[in-house]
Amino acid sequence: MAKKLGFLVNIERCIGCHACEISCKSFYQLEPNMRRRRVQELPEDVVGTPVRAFVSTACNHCDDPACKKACPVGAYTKREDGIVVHNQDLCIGCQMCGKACPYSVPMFNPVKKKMDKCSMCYDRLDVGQLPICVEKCPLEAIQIVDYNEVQPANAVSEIPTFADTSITHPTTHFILHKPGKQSRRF
Amino acid sequence: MHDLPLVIFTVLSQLAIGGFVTLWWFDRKNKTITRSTGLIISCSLVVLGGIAVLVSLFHLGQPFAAYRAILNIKVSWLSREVTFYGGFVGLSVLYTWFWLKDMPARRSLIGGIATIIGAIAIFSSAKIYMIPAIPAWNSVTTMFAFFLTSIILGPLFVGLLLAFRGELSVNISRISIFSLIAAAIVMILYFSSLQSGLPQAVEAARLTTHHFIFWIRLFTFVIAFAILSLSIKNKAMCNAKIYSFVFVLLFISEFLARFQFYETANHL
Ligand code: SF4
Ligand code: SF4
Repeated sequence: MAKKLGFLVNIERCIGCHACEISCKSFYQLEPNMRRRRVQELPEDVVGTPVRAFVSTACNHCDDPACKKACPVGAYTKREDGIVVHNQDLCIGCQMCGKACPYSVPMFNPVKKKMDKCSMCYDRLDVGQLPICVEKCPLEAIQIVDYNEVQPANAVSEIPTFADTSITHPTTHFILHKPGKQSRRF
Repeated sequence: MHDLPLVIFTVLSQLAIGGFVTLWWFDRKNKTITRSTGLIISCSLVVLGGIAVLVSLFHLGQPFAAYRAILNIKVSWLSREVTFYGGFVGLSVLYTWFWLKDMPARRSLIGGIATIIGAIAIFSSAKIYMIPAIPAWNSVTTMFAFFLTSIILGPLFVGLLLAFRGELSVNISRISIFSLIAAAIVMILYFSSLQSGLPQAVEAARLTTHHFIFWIRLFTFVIAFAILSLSIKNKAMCNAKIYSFVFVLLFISEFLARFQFYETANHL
């Protein structure tokens, strides 16, 4: 069976240090104001009892990617392993993919005048390396999971601030704080 | 402001398609339009349609690669819009050629095909925006609004040119009043669907109505409606000057409505 690779983001572990976001930005030499991964603070009542929680999100490499359906030049492909890849050589910069993605993931690169988004570092994965964000997170809060193989315990696909998952069926899953439990900080 | 080329493209392309269908229909039914008048109207519609294409290129990061936009026609509505609108412009040039050569039968056939292709282009254009990621757009009112721009502006444009040439034999005011009534109903439906929709849609309604642009749009619409209502029964008012004035009012109204459509589009 083909793979279904997706991010597993452990919100309970994340301390909001932005290392994933910045290491990705630095590795891909993105222009100012551009990000392929974003860290945001979640509402305090995300699990019912008050917690200080952060979530790191990037492209969700959706099962039914809206970006792919919107693109007039066919710049998006979904690989056998589930990664949604954007081919910048084909892109004409119409920005329709950015409008269609419920997570506003594709961003316009004002210098190249083309769109840009997370590729799950597929070229690194192909040679047995981890994506930059996964490698650089000091708390090991981001993992790549083959969701056709494993369904991690306690993982949820929906969290507050995350758009309706029935639209594109994102593969990203999250592990939330256990209600009433102080989160561990390294 | 960033979507301004799209505002201009959608309004002009819909005007060109609506005008084209009107000219084709009047020519088929009444056969009273002279060659020179038909040629003038057809040429002006081709120019408007061409300007729409040129302006749309300013929206692209890579305008010289725009031709690639037809590659994903199997799944992308944007690709379909580009293909069908491109086809429409090509056919309207051919239609103009048949006016020049005064070949009514061929003109009628090509005009019929271009009408269908033009309607598919507007349909595709509306489908581009009916996406769940932008709740204010994701409704059938987007489809109605796009077709209505065409039906409001197209016949009036052709009507005023015919009036200038002294060849107007159809009551344009009647056609326009019906389209304005339909537009008013769609406007009410649009705002009620926004108000009962997701928070982003409610916010889009608030942003729209809390801006002076909305009131200018409404004012021009109402004044145009009043003038057209008066002109239905008063033949003396059905002249080029009145139709030009009403056309300008409605063009401003539709343009501002489309401007707000893009400006208030809140993402999920
Ligand atoms: S998150 Fe957006 S850009 Fe990424 S695959 Fe899904 S629809 Fe496409
Ligand atoms: S911006 Fe590029 S990738 Fe996005 S829809 Fe347009 S052509 Fe496709």
